[in-house]
Amino acid sequence: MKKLLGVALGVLTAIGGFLDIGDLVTNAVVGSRFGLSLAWVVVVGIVGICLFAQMSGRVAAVSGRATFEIIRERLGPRAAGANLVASLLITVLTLTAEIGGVALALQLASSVEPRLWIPVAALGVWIVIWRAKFSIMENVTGLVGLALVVFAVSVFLLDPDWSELGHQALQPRVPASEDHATYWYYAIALFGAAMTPYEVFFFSSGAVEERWTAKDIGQSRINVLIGFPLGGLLSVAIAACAAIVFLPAQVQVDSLSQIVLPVALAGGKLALAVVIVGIVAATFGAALETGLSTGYTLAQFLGWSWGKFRRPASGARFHLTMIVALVAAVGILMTSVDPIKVTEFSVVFSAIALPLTYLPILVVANDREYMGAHVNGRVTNAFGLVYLVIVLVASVAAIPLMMWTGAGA
Amino acid sequence: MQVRSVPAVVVLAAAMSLGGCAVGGTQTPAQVDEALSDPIDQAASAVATAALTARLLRDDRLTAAAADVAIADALHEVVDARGSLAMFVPPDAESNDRRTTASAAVGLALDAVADARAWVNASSDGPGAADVVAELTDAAAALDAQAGS
Repeated sequence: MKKLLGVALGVLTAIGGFLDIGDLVTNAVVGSRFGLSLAWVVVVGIVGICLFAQMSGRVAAVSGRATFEIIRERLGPRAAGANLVASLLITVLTLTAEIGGVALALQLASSVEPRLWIPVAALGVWIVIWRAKFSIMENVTGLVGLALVVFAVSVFLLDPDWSELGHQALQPRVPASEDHATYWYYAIALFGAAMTPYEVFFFSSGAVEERWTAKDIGQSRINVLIGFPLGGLLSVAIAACAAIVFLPAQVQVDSLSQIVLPVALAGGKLALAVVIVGIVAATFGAALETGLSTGYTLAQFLGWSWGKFRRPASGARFHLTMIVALVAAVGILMTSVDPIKVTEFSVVFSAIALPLTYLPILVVANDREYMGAHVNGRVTNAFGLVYLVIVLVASVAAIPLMMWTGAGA
Repeated sequence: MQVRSVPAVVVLAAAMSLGGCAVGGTQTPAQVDEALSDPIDQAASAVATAALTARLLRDDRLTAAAADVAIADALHEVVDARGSLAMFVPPDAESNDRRTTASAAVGLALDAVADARAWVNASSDGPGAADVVAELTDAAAALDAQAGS
């Protein structure tokens, strides 16, 4: 019974913790402009993140070490260094977007300027990273993040034309008002939002924090294979809400305040309160994950002592890295840069960095020296290779498409 | 061509290309259409957002705080659209007339969204809910007329 509860908790936190500001914004923007015609990209992204998250979780469970430590040891400092630089830059950018997201969500609840909320949000993230236990931190934000199920409920309450939605999703085509380059630019953005690099590093470091062993591989697989796809369904629900309310009115989503309007239309003030709580939990939880990921990646590369299971004094450089990352994020946001723009750029730059993140994981997961009998099977490797081609194409195409379309304008 | 003349040709080509991009330079009709229609679309999207927000607040389905943020964001969009039209340099008299009428429609939208924000914050004895929604509807119609022209 205890094990079953543990599995249920793991799945629920995986669903609630799946969405972040990148998913919220990108899906709403895409829904308002393309309806559900890019829903297939979410499916491709979910299969990819499931594949590599369970791979990196397995590496950590079998070896007792986080993926990044092994990458440096296995591929050498130069290859791991390229991975580190790309991952760290993207993770700090994503952290900036998440803290901006927390501030924007709190603005919706209070109408107080986001620039006043930004330091408060960053301070809250730092206090939780410093003081809270890893499991409590992950479970609380994941479970409260489940409030975003209200997007799925809203889709039903809005009473849409289901055949039209199904037609958009199953027979995708570029709307007449958009061009093909913009369609593919947003396809890459959605893919980058679903497969953000920090997610796999956080997943493997979290496995070490929670002292997983080979016995825990089954549970981690269930968490990933059930939790992430259900989280992906919430992504599609966000796009569907925007497609139902904004697409026919030709409204383009440019702000977080627009994303909650379909929910208020469907369920009134109660639903609005629930969605704001969900957005705060999702962005705050992702800010914790990205904040920790900055410390994890740098400490694991440089061989510093790391982990929340250690007292901060024993991992001083690990904690200092996270403080510096938080200060940098606050500094960027206080220049009055639009957090939504930061989010849009972070998901596209994530797509650019994907090969640097996922190729090393695939190499390590095939190394018998670390993995023993738990190396990748043929099917996993076949999927892994297909996904390497996809991430490579997305990575190469991202910048030309960004320039060609004026960042999707 | 002698090797020494190659840098001069490159510099000349670059100068001519940049000269072609100077303010008031040649613009194709498609570029003029885009420069005038994009701000209209942006303003129309913002007005539709403000109208939805106003209706939700009127029907007690939205809090005043969330409505204020949504309408303030819409206001930023309309201001941005008006700025784009103001920065546009028309290549001929016809384009200038189109810019003037487009600016008037966006100005109407700006007033409507600003009035909606004042109503949300109840900072004046200004218009009521019905007036605000009607003003936003009129502004949307004016923008629609511009988009169709």
